[in-house]
Amino acid sequence: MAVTIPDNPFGAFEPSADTPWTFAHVSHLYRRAAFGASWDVLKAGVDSSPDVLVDELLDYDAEDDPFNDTLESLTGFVDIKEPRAIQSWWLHRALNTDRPAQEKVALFWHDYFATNASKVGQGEFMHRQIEMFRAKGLGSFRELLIEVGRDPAMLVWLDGRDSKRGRPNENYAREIMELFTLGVGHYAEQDVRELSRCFTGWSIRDGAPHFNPKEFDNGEKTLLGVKGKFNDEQAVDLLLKQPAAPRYLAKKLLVEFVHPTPDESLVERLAAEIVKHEWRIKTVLRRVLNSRVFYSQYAYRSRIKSPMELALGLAITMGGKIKTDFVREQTNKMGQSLLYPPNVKGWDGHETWINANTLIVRMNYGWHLAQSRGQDYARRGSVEAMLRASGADTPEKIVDFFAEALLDGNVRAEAKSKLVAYLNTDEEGKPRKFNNKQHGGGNRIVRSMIRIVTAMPEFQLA
Amino acid sequence: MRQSRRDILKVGLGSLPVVCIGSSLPTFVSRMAMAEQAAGTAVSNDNILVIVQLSGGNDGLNTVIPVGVDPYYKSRPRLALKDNLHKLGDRFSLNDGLTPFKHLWDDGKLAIVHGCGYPKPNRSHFESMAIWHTADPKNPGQNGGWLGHYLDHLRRGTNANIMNAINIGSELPQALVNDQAPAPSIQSIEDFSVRMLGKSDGSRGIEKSLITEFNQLDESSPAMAFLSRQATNAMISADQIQKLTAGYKADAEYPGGLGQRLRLIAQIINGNFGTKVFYCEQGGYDTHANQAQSHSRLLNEMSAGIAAFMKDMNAKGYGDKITVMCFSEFGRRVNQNDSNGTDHGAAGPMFLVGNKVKGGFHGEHPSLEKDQLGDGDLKYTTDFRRVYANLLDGWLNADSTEVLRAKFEPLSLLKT
Repeated sequence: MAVTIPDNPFGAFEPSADTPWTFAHVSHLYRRAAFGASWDVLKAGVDSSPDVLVDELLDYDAEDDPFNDTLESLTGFVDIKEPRAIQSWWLHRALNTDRPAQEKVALFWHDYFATNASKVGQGEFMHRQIEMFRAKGLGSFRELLIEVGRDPAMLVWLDGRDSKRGRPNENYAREIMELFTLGVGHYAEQDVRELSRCFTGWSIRDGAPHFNPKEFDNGEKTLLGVKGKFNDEQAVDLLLKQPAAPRYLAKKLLVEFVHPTPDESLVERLAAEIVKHEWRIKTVLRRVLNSRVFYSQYAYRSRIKSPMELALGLAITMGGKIKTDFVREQTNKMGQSLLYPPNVKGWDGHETWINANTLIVRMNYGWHLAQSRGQDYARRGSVEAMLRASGADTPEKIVDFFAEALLDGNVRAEAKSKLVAYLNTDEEGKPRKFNNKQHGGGNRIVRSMIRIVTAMPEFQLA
Repeated sequence: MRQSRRDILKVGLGSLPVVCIGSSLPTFVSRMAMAEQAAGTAVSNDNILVIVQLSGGNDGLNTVIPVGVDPYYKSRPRLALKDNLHKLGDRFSLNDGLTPFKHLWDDGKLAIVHGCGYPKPNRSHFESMAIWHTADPKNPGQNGGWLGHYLDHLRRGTNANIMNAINIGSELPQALVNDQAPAPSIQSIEDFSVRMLGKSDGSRGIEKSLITEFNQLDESSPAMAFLSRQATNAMISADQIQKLTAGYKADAEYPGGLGQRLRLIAQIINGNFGTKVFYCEQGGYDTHANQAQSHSRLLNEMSAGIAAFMKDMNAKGYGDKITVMCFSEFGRRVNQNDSNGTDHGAAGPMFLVGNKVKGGFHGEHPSLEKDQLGDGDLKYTTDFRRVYANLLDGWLNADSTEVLRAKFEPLSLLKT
C-alpha cells in the first residue's frame, strides 16, 4: 500500500513507452490545476503533451481578461456590495472561464490568506481582493504579500486599518508570521509587537489602500534579531529571508497540488526551488505541474476533493448551465462557503472535508445532477448527446464511458460488471435486456447509474 | 515537529474499524459500557453533556464584570462597562446582553467558574484551542481530544455506538477525535439521508445496495480506506437519525445561529439515541476592534439560545439529564487596545448551565493589579482541566484521571 516517491521528483515527467501519456494523467492535471474538464477536453489532452497543457493552463494574461470589468458593468442588475453576489460571480467565472487555472489559483490564495466576508462586510472589498489574486496570483510572492498587507479587505479583516503609530494592532503582524510566512515556533511574541509597528499607517480611502506617513511608526524596530526603521516592504523582505519562509510556502503548494501530507524531503527540495526562482510563483508551479512526482502514484488520487472541486467538477463534466445559487448552497453544506473561510487559517482540507454529514451531501450532489428534472439547472446538460458523441450504445460501452468521464476509467472490473447488470434492470428493479433505443440516452436507468458512480468513494478523490 | 490538525485526524481515524450499531439501539447508552466503572457510584448513566465553544477568545472581563475594581476601569477607559448591567451580588455583574443568563442565575442554574486557564498561556487561536481540546498544554497536537478519550474509555470492551457523540456543524472538533469511530457531524436532519433516483421500491433498493456495496471497506489506499469507513458510518447514522427524530416539536423559540444548532441537539436528544456528548460552536469573539456592541450581541445570542434549549428540554422531561458547558480558547488583554477592542489574552470564565449544577461563583477571580498580571494578562486561578475532571467524574461517570491521563483535583460544580 505504501507508494514511493520517484527519484528526481521535480524533474520533468517525460512520457515514454513504459509510462505513456494517458487520459488519467490529463484528468489528474485538470483536477489539480483547474476544476476538472469535460470528457472531450480531456480526450483532446491525450493527443497533446504535459508541458504544452501546463503552459496552456498557466500562461493566461491577467491584464487582458475577457471577464475584466464585466461585474462592474452589471451594477444595477447585481448589488456588488453583497458578498453573496461576489460568490455567485466567482462560481459563474469558474464554470465558464477558458482560463480555469486562474480561478483555481485565486481559490488557493483565498484559502491561504483566508479573509472572511462576515467581518469585512463589503462585497466590493472581497471582490477587489479576489481580483488581486486573479491578477497577481502567479506573479512574485513578495509582491503578493506586500499587496495583501495593504488590501482593503485584509485591512478590515485583521484590523490593519486600526493600526497606527503609537498604538499598533497586533492582529495582522501575528498572522502574517504564523499563517502566511513562517509558522508557529519561528518567531517570538516580541517580534509580533515589533512587526505590528512596521505595518502602521495603512488605511482605506475610497475603497483603495491609502498610506498616511503621519500614522506610520518610523522608529527603530528589532525584528527577528535585526534592527532597522522597517516599513511594510522591508519587513516582508526580512520575513522572506527566514529559512522557514520558503519551506512554509513549499508545503502549502505541495498540499494543494501534489499530496495532502507531503514528505519532508519534497518540502525541502521545493523550498530550494522557490529560493532559486526568487519567489516567482508561476515558475515554481509550472515546475510542480510538469514534475515526475506530480504524475506519480504518490500524487494521483491522494487528496480528497474540496467542495469546490467536487461541485464545479461534476457540473463541468455533465455540461449544461447550472444555477450558481444552487452550487453555492451545495458547497456551503459541504463545508466550503466561498468568501467565508472558517478562520484566518483557511480550510483544513483533505480528510477534514469529510464527515457523515458532508459526505452525504457530497453523495447527494450527484443525485441532483444526474436527475432529469429539478431546480438546480438553468439548462440541463444532455446525457443523450454525450453518449451519442462517444458512440456508447451498449450497457458495457455506456458504463465504460462514464467510468472514464467521471473516474478516469479506473473502476474495478467487478464494479463495472455490476453497473452493466444494473442497466439491464427495469423500473421495478427486475432483469430485462437493455435496448439502446428504449433505455439509452437520457433514460432514468442511465441517470441512476451515473448517480451510483458519483457515490463511489473514488469520486471523492482529486 | 508539531503535528497539524490534519495529521491528528489521520492518527485518530486511520486505524478505526468499521463500526456497527448494535442490533437493537440502546435507549440510553448501554450499561455494558459502564461495566468497568467503580461500583457504588451515584452518578446516573444517562447524563448528557453539551459543549458550547465560544470561538475567537471571549473577553471575560466584559462578560462577568468585576464591579468597583479600580484597574478594570483604568485599563479600559472606553470599554469598561457600567450601565444596564445585571448585578450578581456585590462584586460582579453580567454584561447587559446576558439577560437570559441572569434569569438562569436567579433560578440557581448557572455556575460561573472564574479565571480558567492553564500554565504558560498560548495566544494563538489555534494552539490555545488545541490545548483546550486535548487538555494537554504540552503537546496539544499529538493526541486525540479529551472527549475522544472519554469515548474510547466509554466504549472499552463494547461495540462502539457511532452516535455516542455528535458534532453540530461542518467540521469535526479535535476534542471529539478518538480511536474508534468518527463522531458524525450534522447540520440538518433534512440533509442527512442518502437519496435515490429509482422510481419504485425495487429499483431504489438495488440502487442503495450498489452504493452500499461500492462503499464497503476498501484498503487499497489510505484515502480509500478513510472514505469507505466514513461512508459506511454515514449511511448507518443517516438511517438511524431519520427513524428516530421524526415527530419533534420545539417547546421554545430558538434565536440566532447558535439557537438553531441547539435546537437540532434538542431534536436529536428527543430521538433518544443514547448520545452522551454534543458539541456546537458560536464564532465571532475575536473582538480586536469596536467590540462593545458586537460582544454584547454575541453574548445575548449565546445566552438566549442556551436558555431556550433548557426550556425546551425541561418541557420534554430531559432537563435533569443535561449539563451545558461553555468555554473559549482564551480571554482577552486587560488593557483595551487603540481600536476600541481587545487583543488576545489569557484566563477567562467558564459557564455551566443545568438543573443539576451548583449555581453561583466558583474559584477566585484573578487579580487585575498590575504586579499580579502575567505579561499584561490575567493569570489563571483555576486549571480548566479541574472543570473537565468534575464533569468526567461527576457527570459522565468516567474516571477523570484515566481520561485526562493525569490527576486533576475536580471542582465541585454539580449537585450530588
